[in-house]
Amino acid sequence: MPTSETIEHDIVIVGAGLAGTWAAMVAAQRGVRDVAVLSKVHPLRSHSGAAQGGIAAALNNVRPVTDSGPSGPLEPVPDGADPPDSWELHLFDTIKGSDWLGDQDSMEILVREAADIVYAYENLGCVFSRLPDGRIAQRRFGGHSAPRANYAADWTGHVLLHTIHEQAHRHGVRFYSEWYALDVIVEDNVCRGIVALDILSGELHVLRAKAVLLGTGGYGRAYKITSNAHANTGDGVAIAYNAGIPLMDMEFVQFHPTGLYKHGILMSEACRGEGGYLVNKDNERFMARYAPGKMELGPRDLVSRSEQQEVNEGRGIGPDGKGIWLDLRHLGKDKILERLPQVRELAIDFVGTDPITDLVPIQPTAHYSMGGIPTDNEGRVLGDGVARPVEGLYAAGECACVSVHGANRLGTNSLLDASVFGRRAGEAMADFVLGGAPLADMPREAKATSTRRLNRYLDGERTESVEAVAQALKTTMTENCGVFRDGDGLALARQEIQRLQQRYAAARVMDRSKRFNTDLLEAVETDHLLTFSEVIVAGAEVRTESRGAHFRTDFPKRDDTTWLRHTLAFKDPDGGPPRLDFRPVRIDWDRYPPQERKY
Amino acid sequence: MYRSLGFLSFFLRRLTGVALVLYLATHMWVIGSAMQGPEAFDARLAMVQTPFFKLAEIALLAAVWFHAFDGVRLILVNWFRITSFRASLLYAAVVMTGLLTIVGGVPILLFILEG
Amino acid sequence: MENAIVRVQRYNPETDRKPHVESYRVPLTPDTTILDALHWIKHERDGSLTFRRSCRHAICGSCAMNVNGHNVLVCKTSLSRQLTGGRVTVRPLPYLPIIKDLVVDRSTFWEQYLRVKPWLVPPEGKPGKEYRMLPEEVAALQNAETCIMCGACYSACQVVALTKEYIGPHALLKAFLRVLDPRDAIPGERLREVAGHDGAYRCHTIFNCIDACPKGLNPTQAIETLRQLAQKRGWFEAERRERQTRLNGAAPSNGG
Repeated sequence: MPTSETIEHDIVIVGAGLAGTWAAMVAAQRGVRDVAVLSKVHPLRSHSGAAQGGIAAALNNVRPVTDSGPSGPLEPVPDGADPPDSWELHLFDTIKGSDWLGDQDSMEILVREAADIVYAYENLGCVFSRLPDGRIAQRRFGGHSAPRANYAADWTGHVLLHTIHEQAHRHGVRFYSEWYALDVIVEDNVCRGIVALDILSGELHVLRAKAVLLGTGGYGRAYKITSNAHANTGDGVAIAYNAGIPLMDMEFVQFHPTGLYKHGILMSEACRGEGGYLVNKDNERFMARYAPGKMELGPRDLVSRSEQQEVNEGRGIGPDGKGIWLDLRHLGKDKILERLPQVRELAIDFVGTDPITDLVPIQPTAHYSMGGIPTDNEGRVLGDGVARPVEGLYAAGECACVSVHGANRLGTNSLLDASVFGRRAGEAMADFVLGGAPLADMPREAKATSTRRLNRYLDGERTESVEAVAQALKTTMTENCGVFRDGDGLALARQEIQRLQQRYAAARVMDRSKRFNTDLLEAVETDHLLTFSEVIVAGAEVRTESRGAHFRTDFPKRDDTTWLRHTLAFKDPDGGPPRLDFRPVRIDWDRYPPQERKY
Repeated sequence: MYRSLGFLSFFLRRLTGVALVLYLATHMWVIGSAMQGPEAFDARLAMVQTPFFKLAEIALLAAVWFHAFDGVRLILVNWFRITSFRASLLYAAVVMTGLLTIVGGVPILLFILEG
Repeated sequence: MENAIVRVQRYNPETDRKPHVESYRVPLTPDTTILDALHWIKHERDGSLTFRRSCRHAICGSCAMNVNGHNVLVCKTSLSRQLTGGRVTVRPLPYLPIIKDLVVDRSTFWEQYLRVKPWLVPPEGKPGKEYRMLPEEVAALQNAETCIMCGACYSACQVVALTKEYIGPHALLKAFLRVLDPRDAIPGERLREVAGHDGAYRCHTIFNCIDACPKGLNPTQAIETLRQLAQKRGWFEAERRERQTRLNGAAPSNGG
């Protein structure tokens, strides 16, 4: 690793999940010679690899057997038969899933490039599951009107991540493993680079680049029960916000209906896609009351709310009554072993039940962040949240908000989003760099500012446990800003976060060594959690309607006259609450006007 | 040291291999003396007819059997792709080694006792 | 509440001359994993305890460590089931340089991974759609495809312990994945590399990699397959060329 004070690259990418690695790979492929990717964990540890169920694209490889109902058998589409699925149908499902909050031009790009990106993965070595004739196998997923989830058993994200990481190496991308980006430097609407910590040595480095991409993933770690990795602390979102970039639609946090009870570990939506049942303590398939047309294959927001409703009305399972049963037994041993092997092992390892013979206890788990850093369709970060890109700054994947998921993301659209918009951002960066972009000046005090950020844990009276603050935050976010929300709870959460921010000012770092200081990292990550949680709550509090994943029990109806618009939150330079602004949603009023969302 | 059954077998196979080499050297040292005439050969042979060397012969027998069976085990596991039987076949090799060592060792023991 | 004694090997090269073991009394529930115990120690007793972890459900590969002498992923390892006499001992992965406490330096592991060219080299000419692969061809790759590169096998391997020149079970498993993939264009070159001095023939068939693998994979078998294919490389390359004529368009026949 370099020892010089300042490191220079053409492109610096923060985050090595699907979005970041696609961007890096494509930029390198296009001829940018010096592409570097930073990751706070080894690139192959990125959380994209935890995605299980599939990646959406209307490949038309399978179709439901005629008149067999919402979870009937599937069959291969014969050669020459009319294609049953299309990107138009995928687009409509995605729009409906988003509760009309997504920008429809961006969504159209997402679904139109879907088939191409899936074929690209396949051509680059991804080992998808197959039909008997050799085509990619597909399964059903919640909220999709056709079986278009292309999968590799139930470790799809894992094989996609490994495939694209390998190809990035093939094209000479350089990886900085276990480097942590502390600050992104933006001045005069131009991105100058980043300041990053080499975790191993404990040294800070300034990295200058012509283009910087943030692909740091989601922020589920703000919640107590979450499917997200320990690493998913929304660092990119927080450092962009700290640099004066607004955050968009942060109040939309997706709760996945099937997290393992008490653990939150993901049990793929493929469980339901393959035909699994959700059952309450009275052994009733309760989804019949909430989404009779789709049953368990409703979109995630709806199914999670239904589960929570059952729990709240006393029909939950488990010692505290907060769980729900997932029943896979009728799928049979062969199907479970072939299509859901990982899910089965997780159930056995973590709750001690084998889905082949037993019911699996589950509960809603914080899963995906629809909101994030606002970008245009080429991944350029919008400094004003509306139209003006910050020169040289890009974002893609879960940390970005294009917005293609609106108020609720459909399953299998996240791998698609990260891949499609990661690739587009990579292409845009390559054009930008090869078009002669200069290496912008780095402000002289950049490193000193970041150094102060770390050194503050060393001075003065420091008594507060970082972990205690983080746990208190997660508790209040789960209780007051979870599946169901209301004005009183959100006000409580807002006050609690302010209190926690004050407590955090005295945060104590016990490990004083430089080398591999994970104690210090956890402190910075908690700082980030506090930073964007305040924005989540502010957005949820101001949005007096229910839309997608954001459900206000005091405002249970969607309100298109007032709230068919994106929330933008700007950081107050003086430390006050976030300044909120709004921008309209881009809607094709002729083709896809807002409708009632019913499943 | 990463301790495991596989490593134990690997270690014993190496150990018995070295023992076999040592035996071979001793063997040639004895046989080779025949070049110097029958008296020399008889004298050498008498040196290795002590109870200590007889006991060592039993150990040698065990070493030969283990080395052979463990080697065959690996060939079987590789050839028939039955890595899941790696431990049970090792136990089988040990049992066979024990049995055949008893079968061959008891006469030697009796020979020592009678001798 | 019940307790367990967790003995953890500690070592900070900045301050310690050599590794030592420290004991902690940790609250125990039936659900507690070793990772939970390490987190408890870090948050409640000593924030300087250092270890890697991320996904906490056995897919990211960060948290491979040595527990009671065996390499495991601590995130999916139950504390109560590892206790003997109420104690458990957690050490870093053996045979690798220690960076700090339970964090090891996996550099040679990743060097060997890159050495086998883990990426697919696709054939000339894109199909426009997917290459056709049969379900049984996919099934044959499953052994390697789900490897999470945690390093448990690598650090359990006695050959790796002797020489870091050895390609290692993880990278040979990756080579197996690429060699067996009908879409790969350079299986012959790969077989030459893995049949070389540092490759498949250095495996002593000790089976530690199988014992250590937290995903139930079988690198030994993959290594043996590579050896057998290396013996008939010319034939295999011809087979592959023939198979690749059926990658596009029409469905491939069986046995490809």
